[in-house]
Amino acid sequence: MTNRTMGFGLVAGLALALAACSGADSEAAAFADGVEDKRGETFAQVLSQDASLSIAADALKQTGLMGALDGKASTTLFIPTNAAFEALGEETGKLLADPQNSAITAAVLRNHMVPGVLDTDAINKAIADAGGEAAIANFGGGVLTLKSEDAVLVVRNASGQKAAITGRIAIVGNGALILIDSVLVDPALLPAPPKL
Amino acid sequence: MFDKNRTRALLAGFAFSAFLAASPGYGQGKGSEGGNGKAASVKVDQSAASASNRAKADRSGQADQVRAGNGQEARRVEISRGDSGLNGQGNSRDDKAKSGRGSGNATQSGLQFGGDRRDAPGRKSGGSDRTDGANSFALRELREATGARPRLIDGCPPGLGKKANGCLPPGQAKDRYRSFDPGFFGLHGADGGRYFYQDGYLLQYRPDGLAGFLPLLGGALGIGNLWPASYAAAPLPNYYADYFQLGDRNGYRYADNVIYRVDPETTAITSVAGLLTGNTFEIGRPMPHGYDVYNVPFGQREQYSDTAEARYRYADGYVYKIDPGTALVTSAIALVL
Repeated sequence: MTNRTMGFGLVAGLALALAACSGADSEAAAFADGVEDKRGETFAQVLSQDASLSIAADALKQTGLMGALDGKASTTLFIPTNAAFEALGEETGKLLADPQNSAITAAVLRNHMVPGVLDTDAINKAIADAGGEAAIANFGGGVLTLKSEDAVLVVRNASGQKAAITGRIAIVGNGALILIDSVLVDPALLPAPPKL
Repeated sequence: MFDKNRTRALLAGFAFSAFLAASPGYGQGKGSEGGNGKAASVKVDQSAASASNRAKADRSGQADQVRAGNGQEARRVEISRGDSGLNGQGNSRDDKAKSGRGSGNATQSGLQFGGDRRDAPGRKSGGSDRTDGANSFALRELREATGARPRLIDGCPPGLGKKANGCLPPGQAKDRYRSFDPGFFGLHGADGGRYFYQDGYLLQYRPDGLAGFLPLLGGALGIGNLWPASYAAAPLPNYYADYFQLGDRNGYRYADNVIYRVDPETTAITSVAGLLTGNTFEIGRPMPHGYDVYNVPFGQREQYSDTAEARYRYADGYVYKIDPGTALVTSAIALVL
């Protein structure tokens, strides 16, 4: 991966335009700067090539959610970068990686997964159509909201945590990867050291 | 942050990946029987449930066929409501014209088909009255599948009772365990009570003691673990067996909006096949909250792109057509890939 494709500041300008053509299978897509066409690859393949996403990739494998991503149903994953996980603190990172807490890690990741394929064109249009804030249902049974703040797209969970969409966006074979700079989870729900 | 050396250094400090690599498979080989000898509160045989489901479908005599198309398209079944009280009447005709396939196949019943023929055994075709039945049946099946409440298993989870910090009395559990809303784990509609997390389970406590437990995705329901014999797997609509290519009905389990592949012999969980949203979709009713953004998969975008007359949103293996004026779902388009 190059720094160019993974650089920050792409958000507002990122646009995914589908070129009109004759058949879905032969459909060609024109991608604006920074949006990568990885439709020939799976989530697992794309993630394995990006060292900055290794924490989420490992967690997706450990929890089994990689199987769902690379299954039949289309999914968009708002994927926190390594830096986003590291911002939770070293102790929390160790606890999230502890297999005894895998179900908590799975819940955190599941809440970052939404049905279908989202791209920035569609997100920006939805925000405009909805009067400034668009809602998307996630696979955890909750709803994430999207809005533009200072020309940067941000995504929030129901408990108020927010992340900026500031990095790569890749359209993969069965969905989309959208990098975010924070983990969308209430810190009170993260694993903590034993009380006793 | 994208510099490899820096990333490696951060990872070393964070230790997440190293921890993952060094950790043994969580719960590998856990037994599926209850640890305290209490009988399970519920037990559903998935095969029987599926069989019952299929039988129900057969009994319904509802149309569910796919007419011959060009043989290269994904099989599609659009279900729309043809009764006069709803918006979107006649939408299937519009769709057919737009898709450029199967024009003229639209029936007054509102069913639209494309692709190869796929008659369900014992089912009859045609007829507007059957169509209304087909609508209600297909979407009811979805609602039943995604609307099932998590069902508690009695007692202490297998293996946990033997641990020093296993199923503790309520007072100690409160001090020791982390309290959670089951909704955080996607377990919406669970019974009331206080829930604590321990070793891949949610333990439910009442004032008089431990009431039972729920196994969790990635934890007790992690890859390699045996499916808990006492945990009710909900019936999965036949459509999803096709959509997710699940194969043998003994080869999967569905619970809490997660589809697991299991080894039919051992019931060991082999993978997570898919997730469902748990949202309720019903023709003639408003689209659930959370579908503001166009999200149709690429393979279907040419057929189902938003226009002034219709919006399309994808969820749980279907593309839903929505009337922009009323925000009501006017039809459900099945995508058997």
